[in-house]
Amino acid sequence: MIWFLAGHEWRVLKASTIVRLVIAVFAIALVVASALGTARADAERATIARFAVPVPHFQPVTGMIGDRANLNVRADFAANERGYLALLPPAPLSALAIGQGDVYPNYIKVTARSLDALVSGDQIEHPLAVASGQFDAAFVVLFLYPLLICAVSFDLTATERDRGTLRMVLAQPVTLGDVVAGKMIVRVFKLLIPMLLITVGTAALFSPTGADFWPRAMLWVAAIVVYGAVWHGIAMVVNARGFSAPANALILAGIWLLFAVVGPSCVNLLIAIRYPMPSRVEAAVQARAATQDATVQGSRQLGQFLQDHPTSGNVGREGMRQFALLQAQRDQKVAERLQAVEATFNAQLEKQRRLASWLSVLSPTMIAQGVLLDVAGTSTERFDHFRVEAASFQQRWKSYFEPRVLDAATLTPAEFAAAPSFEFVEEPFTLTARRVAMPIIVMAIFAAVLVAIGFRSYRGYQL
Amino acid sequence: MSPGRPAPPKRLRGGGSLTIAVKDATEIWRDGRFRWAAGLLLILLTAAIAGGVHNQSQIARQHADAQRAERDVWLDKGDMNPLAAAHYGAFVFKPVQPLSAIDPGLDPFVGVFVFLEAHKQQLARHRPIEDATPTRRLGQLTPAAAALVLLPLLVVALTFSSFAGERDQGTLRPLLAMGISRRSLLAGKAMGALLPLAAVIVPATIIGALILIWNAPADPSAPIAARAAGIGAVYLMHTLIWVGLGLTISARSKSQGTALVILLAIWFANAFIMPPLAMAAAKWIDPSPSAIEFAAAIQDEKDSWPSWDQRVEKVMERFLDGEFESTMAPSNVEVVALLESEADETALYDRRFTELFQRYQRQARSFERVGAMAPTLAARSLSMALAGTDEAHDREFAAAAARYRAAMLTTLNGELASSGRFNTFDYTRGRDLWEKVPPFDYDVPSARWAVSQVSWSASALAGWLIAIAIAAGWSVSSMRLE
Amino acid sequence: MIEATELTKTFGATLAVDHLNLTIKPGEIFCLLGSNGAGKTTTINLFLNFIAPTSGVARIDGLDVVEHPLETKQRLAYIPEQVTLYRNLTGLENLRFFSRLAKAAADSDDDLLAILAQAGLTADQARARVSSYSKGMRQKVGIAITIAKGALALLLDEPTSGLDPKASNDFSTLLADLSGRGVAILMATHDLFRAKESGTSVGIMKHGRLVETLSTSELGHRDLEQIYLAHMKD
Repeated sequence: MIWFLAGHEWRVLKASTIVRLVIAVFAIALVVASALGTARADAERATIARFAVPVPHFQPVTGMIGDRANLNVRADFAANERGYLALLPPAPLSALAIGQGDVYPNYIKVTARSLDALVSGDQIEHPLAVASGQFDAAFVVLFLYPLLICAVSFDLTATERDRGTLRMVLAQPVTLGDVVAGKMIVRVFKLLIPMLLITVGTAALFSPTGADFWPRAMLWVAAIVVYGAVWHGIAMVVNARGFSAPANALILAGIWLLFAVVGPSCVNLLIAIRYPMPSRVEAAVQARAATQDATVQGSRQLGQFLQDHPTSGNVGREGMRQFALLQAQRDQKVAERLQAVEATFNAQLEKQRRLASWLSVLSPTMIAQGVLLDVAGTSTERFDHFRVEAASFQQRWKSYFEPRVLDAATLTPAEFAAAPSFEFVEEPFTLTARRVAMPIIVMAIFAAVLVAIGFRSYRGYQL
Repeated sequence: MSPGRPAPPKRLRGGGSLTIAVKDATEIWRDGRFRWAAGLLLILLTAAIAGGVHNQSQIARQHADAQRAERDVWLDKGDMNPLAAAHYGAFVFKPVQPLSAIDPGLDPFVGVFVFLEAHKQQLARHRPIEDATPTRRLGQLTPAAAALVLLPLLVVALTFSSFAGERDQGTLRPLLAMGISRRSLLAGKAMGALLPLAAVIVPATIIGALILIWNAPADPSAPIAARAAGIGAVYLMHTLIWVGLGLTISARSKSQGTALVILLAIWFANAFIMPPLAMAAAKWIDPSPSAIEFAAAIQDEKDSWPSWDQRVEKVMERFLDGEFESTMAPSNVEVVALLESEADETALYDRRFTELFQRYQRQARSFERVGAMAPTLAARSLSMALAGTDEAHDREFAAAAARYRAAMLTTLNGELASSGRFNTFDYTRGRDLWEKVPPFDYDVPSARWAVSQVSWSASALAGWLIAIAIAAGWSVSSMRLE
Repeated sequence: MIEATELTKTFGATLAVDHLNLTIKPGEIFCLLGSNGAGKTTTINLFLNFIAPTSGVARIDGLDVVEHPLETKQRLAYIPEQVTLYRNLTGLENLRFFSRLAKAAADSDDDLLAILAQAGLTADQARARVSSYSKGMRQKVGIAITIAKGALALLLDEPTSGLDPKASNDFSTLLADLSGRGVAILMATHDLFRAKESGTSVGIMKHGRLVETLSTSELGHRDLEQIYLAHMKD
């Protein structure tokens, strides 16, 4: 019976201008978002490919010490000035969600010095772009999809009840529950199918991918299905209250606003109040103070100037060794000071993130955003993992070069080629799956509860 | 009933507009939904304003303290070689605008400070957004957002059924049969929506103004009044546009349900789809390099330069040709080579960064122009410009920082070159030289300059207002009565 | 057959239906008269199980409508004052939908068209969209649904309001036809004339109570009006 009712509802909806408008807008938005995302992912991949050769632009330059004709390289130059570019390959589903990719860099310059060891160039993205948000598939799923669900569901039964058609139907041997179920089924599929086809289809076709693609795509699908289910449930509960169609529309728009816009803002406010971040300005000043102390304590005269421009006439190799040692000592001291500052920040940030993940339960949009970004591989987790990997690589780089730097040595091309290289190891997929399993289950429970409440409330529906 | 000719119909005062307005306003006021929505909006607005002001005043205090501390650090750093001092560098901190409490604009997304050092120009670093938890990206409830995103939703709620609702109920034709002109009807409906809106806008404006005055910055030269008034005017115009839009769609829609959905769709497109879409268009017109590409391009160019030894040779040749004063000792050749290489590098970085900023400027301009198509985006651009938190202001600051850096380097390097003391390791200077570098002083540009940077948006907003007024008039005069 | 035993419904403090006792046998046409708010529509809603009784029982064909909602709805048909159908579908498509819902035997186009013809709609009319139908035509679709279902009971709410005299007369004929097939009919109406013409019995409802039940064969038109007005006076 439900399927028969669903088929009938499909026919009735086909004639509705609102539904046609909604489907058209949805399809256009999805196609545009997928196209933009794919273009971006391709560009990213091209850039990474271009720079993937270790130290790509490196050409041995004439050493500043020793014979001019030799092609050896000063160790400290290779280790620090050039350094190594550790690259983060694009995530398997990055076409679908840009996530934090426009703020966190996908490359880290690694040097052997303790100070500035991980000099991450800021991701250069126009601040307006970051502020405007990205029009990617994740955006469409998180914000547009629920609104469209509300748009096709605000008049589930209201107008039919007001006009009397519902009474005609319920005078037949069918239950209101069956009728509502049939209507819901149609709406769920009308929106879900194009969404899944277009997003997953685009990602699969145009972004050739790693081994993890299909498992991640399945998680993506699960997250979307569950997120949509929550909103369908909300729409159902609101409709069951029995208000008029325009009243339903406004209530649903208000709920959407609450969960998608106002809720996250309030959560951010709460987090900022509970665990305020120490000011970065503070940190900069402290870093400056640390450097100042070290410079005063160390050899001021052999400070930054010598490091950049030692002249050939004034110091010999022994002088260079001395300088290298002094510099290493100074760097160590400063690094320790800075680490303390950095640790304070990271501790607070960690507390903020934990609170955020707890509070995000308050809004399905926040939960879903976390899941979608994590599955797509553009969440802070993956960038953090990249930093950790780069840090351990930095240890290897440093242990290879530091003895040579302290020795003020030069490297032959062979020695240079033997330096360690960086290969990013993705975290195992099971780790991601375990992280997102809980939020997905939570959303599924929410959806189930809402749908149950909806059906229950419909029992008392005023005809 | 006495027979005879019926009395002539009374001409309603004001064409009936006021009557209709009062009736509508009363209906709306009695409607519990409006009071809930309006009350909620007012609370949200107040919270947003208070939060924004508190946040911003804290940051402003930190900035001022940091800037002062930085100056002390600079003066007290002791004796060192001027070039070492140049590398020691200085921090200049972005000034925080008082009106950024209303519209933080790009502040969370641009750098907090710039570190000025010989050699490497850098983009302002450590943007607050990097510290933010992922939920931060979902939305900031600022007063600007409340005015430009939430308030129109309230307007939609008030206007979607103005004409369509009366038509659905069948009261539209009788209303016009009473002798009210369509124009008066439109005026009445508009007022009927604006009166309840005023109940939200007026208290919010007063609260905002009070909080701003209370938190006024210590610096009296900051031009707040003009900017604040400008922002208020922008929000008012934007709200009026939405009232007109709501009435227009309501008049032309088949039913009030259709009117509501169409208006909600327009609202969503304006507030959430247009910004990223406009940005995508701007980047497509003027693509900008990623961080890696930018750094790589600079490195490429540096690689093509002569090596250090070649440089020293060249300077030696020039010295032998008699280019420099005879007082220069041979070992100073290296210092000259050093200064020249530094000048070259500075020029390179300046060129590349200028190019990048020009691209950003073009992107911002494209963004603004494309965005002018949407009234909310045009209003947003104006709001950010007047609050001083848009791209143009950021660029001004960056330019001022660059100028300050150049002046600092000139002072320090010049001292070295003209010092006559060429053994670089022994040559040190002290506080007397540091004091020659003035403290960083930055004046926020005027309101007029701010608006001139977004003139397209200003014209667009005005254009929208006129267009909507005409559209409303036309739609009411041609609407169906049943 | 349609039966109410001590059927009572209160909405808060208001007593809408007050211990109603009513039996309508197959073939009987019972017309329920009364002013607006007397409880006629509430009574019909109670039989349809659209609202639950406060006390008492409503039965269709011996089955309690509350305990056997689907079975009783299988046996009854309902024609509201405004027969709202799906506007973008044709009369035939609407009939097909409702009769499938009712699990009626008739399913093929021919069967359904025949039923619509019985109800007074030509094949051309049946294939036109309902948005073009008059009230009388929509009502005929309602009758067709009743026939297709093979309903044993028919509930009508103000069926003749808004019908022109010819349509009203057609309707009476159809009612008589259904009554002849053994359908028990309960009709809430203001139309005293039609009540006397078509009905077998008449009941006057006031403040939720059935204050008088009369047999139409014993009455003249004038009598009915006088008795009705007499009740309405207080």
